[in-house]
Amino acid sequence: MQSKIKNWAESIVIVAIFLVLIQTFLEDFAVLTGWSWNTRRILIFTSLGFDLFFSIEFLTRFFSGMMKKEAGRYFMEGKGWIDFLASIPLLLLNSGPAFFALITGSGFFFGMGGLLNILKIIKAIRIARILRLLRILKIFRQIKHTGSRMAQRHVAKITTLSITTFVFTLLVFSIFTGFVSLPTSESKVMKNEKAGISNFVTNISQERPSVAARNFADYDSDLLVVKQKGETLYTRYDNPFYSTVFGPGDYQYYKTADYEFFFDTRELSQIQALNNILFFVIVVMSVLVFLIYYSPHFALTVTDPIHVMRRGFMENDYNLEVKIPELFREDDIYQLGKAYNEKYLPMKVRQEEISEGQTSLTMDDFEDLFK
Amino acid sequence: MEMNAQQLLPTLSSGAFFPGESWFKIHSLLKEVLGTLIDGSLLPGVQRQIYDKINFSFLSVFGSQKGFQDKTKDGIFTFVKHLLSVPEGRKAFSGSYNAIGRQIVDKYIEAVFNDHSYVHFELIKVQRLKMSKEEIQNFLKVSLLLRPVIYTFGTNMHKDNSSGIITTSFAEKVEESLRKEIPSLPEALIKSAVGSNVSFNDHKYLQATSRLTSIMSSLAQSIKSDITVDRGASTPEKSWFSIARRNYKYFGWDIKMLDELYRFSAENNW
Repeated sequence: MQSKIKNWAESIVIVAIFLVLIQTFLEDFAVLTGWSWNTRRILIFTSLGFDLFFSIEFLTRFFSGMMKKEAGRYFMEGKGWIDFLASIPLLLLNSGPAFFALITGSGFFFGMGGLLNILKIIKAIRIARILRLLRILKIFRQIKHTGSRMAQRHVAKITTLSITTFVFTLLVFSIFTGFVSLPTSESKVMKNEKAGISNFVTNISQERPSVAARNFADYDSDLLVVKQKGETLYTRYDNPFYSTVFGPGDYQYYKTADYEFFFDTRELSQIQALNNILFFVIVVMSVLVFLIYYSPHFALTVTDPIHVMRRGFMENDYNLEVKIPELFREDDIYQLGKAYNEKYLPMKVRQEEISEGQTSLTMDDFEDLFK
Repeated sequence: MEMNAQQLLPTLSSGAFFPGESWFKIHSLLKEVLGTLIDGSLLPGVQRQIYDKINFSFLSVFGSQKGFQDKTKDGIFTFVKHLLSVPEGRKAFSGSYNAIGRQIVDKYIEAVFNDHSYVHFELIKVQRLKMSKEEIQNFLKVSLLLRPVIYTFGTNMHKDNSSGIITTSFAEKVEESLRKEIPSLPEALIKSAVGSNVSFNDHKYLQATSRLTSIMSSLAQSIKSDITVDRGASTPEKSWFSIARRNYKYFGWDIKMLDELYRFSAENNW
C-alpha cells in the first residue's frame, strides 16, 4: 500500500516536472511575443504553484531522509541538492516576490524605499530564474535510458556536471554583472531616459508643459506617460490598453520634482526573455544530446562489451564474441574484448568439450517444477 | 538431472513421486520416459527428412538405381533409429539433425556456389563431385545423418582426444561395418560420413564433404536457435566460426574452409 502511494506520488512529480518545463518556456515566450498581461499573470500564479509544489517535494524527501538518518545521502548522492536549488531559492527569490508584488500592487515596493529596491528585486528575480533550468536534471533522473545501471550513473553524472556548470556560470556571471557597473543595454536605456528627463525639466519654463511632454514623447518612443502633480500631461495609449497589455515589470517609473514619468520597458524584457529561451534551449538540447547520442554511445563502447563478456563468463552455453567496432578497436575495453574472443572463448569451448558440455541450467531455472 | 541430483532427490523420492526409490532407479525411469517423449517428436521429423525432403536422386551419380534409393532410405532410417538408442549417438545426432532442419547446409552451399572459391574448388575439382548445387546439398544431408555412425561401435577407446576425433584405423573398421549394414550406400557417402570424424590435420586427403559435414554438424550442435543476441555481441554463427578458426587444430578442421565459411556468416549476418 505504502509503495503504491509512493509510486503514485512519484508519477505526479514526473508529470509536474514536464509541466513546469512547459511553463518555464511559456513564461518567457509570453513576454517575447507580447501576450496579454492577464495571461502572463496566470503564468506567475502557476509559477508560484510549481515552486511551492517542488519545495514541498524537497522538504518531504529531506525530512523523510532525516527520519531514516539518510538526509545527507539524499542531499549528496540522491541529488537532493538539485531538488533544493530548483525549489526553495526559486520560491523565495523568484515566484514568491513576483506573486507578492502582484497582490500588493506597486505600492509595496515604493513603500520599501523606491526605485533602487525595485531594481534589486527584479535583478534577484531574473538571476534566480536561471536555477529553474536545473529542473531539467530532475526529469533526466527519472528516465531509464539504458538497461545498465553503470551507464545510467555515468551519463547522469556527466549530464549533471555539464548542466550545473552551465547554470552556475550563468548565475555567477549574472550576479557579477548585476552588482558591478558594466555598460548594458538596460543601463544605456536608463541613461538616455534620465538625460531626457533632465532636459525636459530644464526646458519646461520655455514652453507649455503639455507641449514639452509631447515633444519629449516624439523624441523618446519609449515614453508612455508624463504627469504633473498627479495630472496627466501626456499619454501615448489609453487606460484600457495599459491595463490589458502592461504588467508591473513592463514599465520604468521616475519621479522628479512635480513630474512623474513612465517608460515602456517591454523591449528590454523581450531581449531578456530571448536570452532565457536561448539558455533553456541550450540546456534541453544538451540533455537530449546526452540522452540520444551519448547514452547509446556509452552503452555501445563500455557496457555492451562488458555485458557480453559477463554472460560468457557466467553461462556455459553463451559463446558469442564481443563485436569490436573498427573505430574503437584500440580502446581498453575492446582490447579486453579481443583477448576474450581470441583467448578465453576458444579455451572455454575446448574445456566444454572435455567436460562434455555441462549445462548452465540450475534448479533456480525451474522454480515452479514441482508446483 | 545429474547435475541437480542432490536437490531433486528429496522431492522425487517423496510420496508424491517415487516413494522410497533410489536415485539410480528414478533417474533411469525419468530418462526412459523423456527419451520416449523426445523420440515421439524426433522420429517423425527424421522420417520426413529422409522420405520427403531429402532428394536421393544424387545417388544415381554413383550408379545407384531407383529401387536402391528406396532401400537406402529404409537402411538410413533403421540406422538412425538404432543410433538414437545409444546415448552418445543420440547426443551427436542433434548436430546432424539441426544442421539439416535449420537450413545450415542449404544456405552455406548456396553461398559456396555463389562465391566459387576454395570450398567450391575442393568439392568440384578436388573431390570431383559432378553434381549440381542441390545434389551436393542432399549429399551432405545424408552424410550428416550418417556421421554419428561411430557411436554405434563404442568409440571411447578410439578417440584421439576429447574433441571426438577418431583414428584412421578405427574409421576404416566403421566404414566396413557400415558397408555391411547398408549395402546400397555408395562408397563416397560412407567415406564422407565416417571421414567427418577424422582429423584433417592427420589426413590431408580427407574428402571436402567430410570436412564440411564435420564443421556443419559441430556448428549446428553448438548454436542455439533461440539465443538472444545481445547488442554488442557478434551473431551466433559468426562467433562460432571465429572461435572454430582458433580451435581448428584441436577439432581437426580445415582452416581454409573455416575462413571461407566465416566470411559468409559475416557477410550475411548469420
